[in-house]
Amino acid sequence: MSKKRDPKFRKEILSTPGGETIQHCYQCGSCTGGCPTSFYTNFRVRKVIHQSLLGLRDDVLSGNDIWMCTVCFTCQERCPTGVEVTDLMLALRNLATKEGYAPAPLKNVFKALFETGHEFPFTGYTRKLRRELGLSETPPLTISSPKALEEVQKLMKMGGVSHLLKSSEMKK
Amino acid sequence: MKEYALFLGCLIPARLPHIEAISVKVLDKLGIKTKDIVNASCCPDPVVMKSLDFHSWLAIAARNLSLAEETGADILTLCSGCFSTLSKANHLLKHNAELKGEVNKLLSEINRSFSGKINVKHVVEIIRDIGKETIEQQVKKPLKQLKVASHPGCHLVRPSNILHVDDPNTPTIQDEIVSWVGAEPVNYALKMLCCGVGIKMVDPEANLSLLREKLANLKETEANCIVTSCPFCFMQFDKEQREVSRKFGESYTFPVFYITELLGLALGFSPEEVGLHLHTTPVKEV
Repeated sequence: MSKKRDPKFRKEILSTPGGETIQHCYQCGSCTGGCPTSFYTNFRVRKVIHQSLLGLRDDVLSGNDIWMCTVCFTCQERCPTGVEVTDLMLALRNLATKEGYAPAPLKNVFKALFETGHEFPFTGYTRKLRRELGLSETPPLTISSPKALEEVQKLMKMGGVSHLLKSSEMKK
Repeated sequence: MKEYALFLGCLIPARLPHIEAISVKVLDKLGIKTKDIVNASCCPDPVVMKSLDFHSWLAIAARNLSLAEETGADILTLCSGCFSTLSKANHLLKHNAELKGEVNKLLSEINRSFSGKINVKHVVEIIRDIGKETIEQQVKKPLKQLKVASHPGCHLVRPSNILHVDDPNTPTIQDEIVSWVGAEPVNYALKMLCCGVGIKMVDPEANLSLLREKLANLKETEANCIVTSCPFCFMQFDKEQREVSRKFGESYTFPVFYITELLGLALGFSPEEVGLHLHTTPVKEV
């Protein structure tokens, strides 16, 4: 069965931050060889790169594979031709996110950051623990400043995926 | 006395504040002062946020860098995630004029700008740079009973074209510090294997399998504890060992130390001051 190819996909990747080096790949497989998750999942870095170069846009962006990277940079460190492999996986994730394919737990992290300025919000337990340790209950971070939070939110809204914020903004 | 701008991030102040407390105490004893970066936010993290939207990741990182620039001091961070993000963003913005222009246009909307006049340091390289002699002089209780497996973690040393802390494949920076506090560093084959935390949210099974691979390797060695300088790796080892043991019917009970906890004990702080009672995996015989 032949799959639908998108001849513009390569250009799209090349112009996405992190995707600039994809064309250096000559399919040696050093990336997959050193990949810690390849032992436990079906994720094969080399295959993802090959699919991308072939223009199999839908397969790459809608699949689970690109989300299986731990971002350990082992492949990027080893690549003999200088493909910034890990950064490339993140570039593909950026494109997948624009298409609405980001996994829900990751979108929740995005929302937590938007709503509080931090990915791990401060709870009552946090404050108690900090007090007991002799630390200020809330350090002078975005968490304690509505103005700082407004600045962070403004920057997030100007980014490319403000659609991820819709549900959290509606709550307000 | 050298002074740094302390970048706290999220995980340490919100979930592991004992690491914040002991790190500041240890640094102070070693002659390093820290000051707050007022209004700093999440760095943002180099795995989730960078995956979802590179542009807001970079803009928020640039805002944090610009806040630090105002203090006039280099950044000191306790978290390898923050270290990765802030180092990469700082590098990109210092070396790519076009990107710097775009980001400064965004930052101008909140009356800020990035100029590129500071550097980003990880606490472990600051400790290394203090040096063997100074640290050995300060040690009150050498940790002779500890055989320490060091887990440097990925984001301390990779990618090596951006981060220049140590060799990206065989780093020894933590082992050196371990030996300065009187403990014995233990080498092992899978030292640079990732702890797996980066896929915890999307594939918890693979995450635990990866951690198990690492723990099983450690069990073959003489190591009686683990040291790391990344709070995400710390959480992964300290909290998930129990889960790995349960899932695979094996027993892993390595005490886990953050690097400044180990120093804290050696410099004479009590286990309570170091925060050992807040660990999930019990720490005995220290």
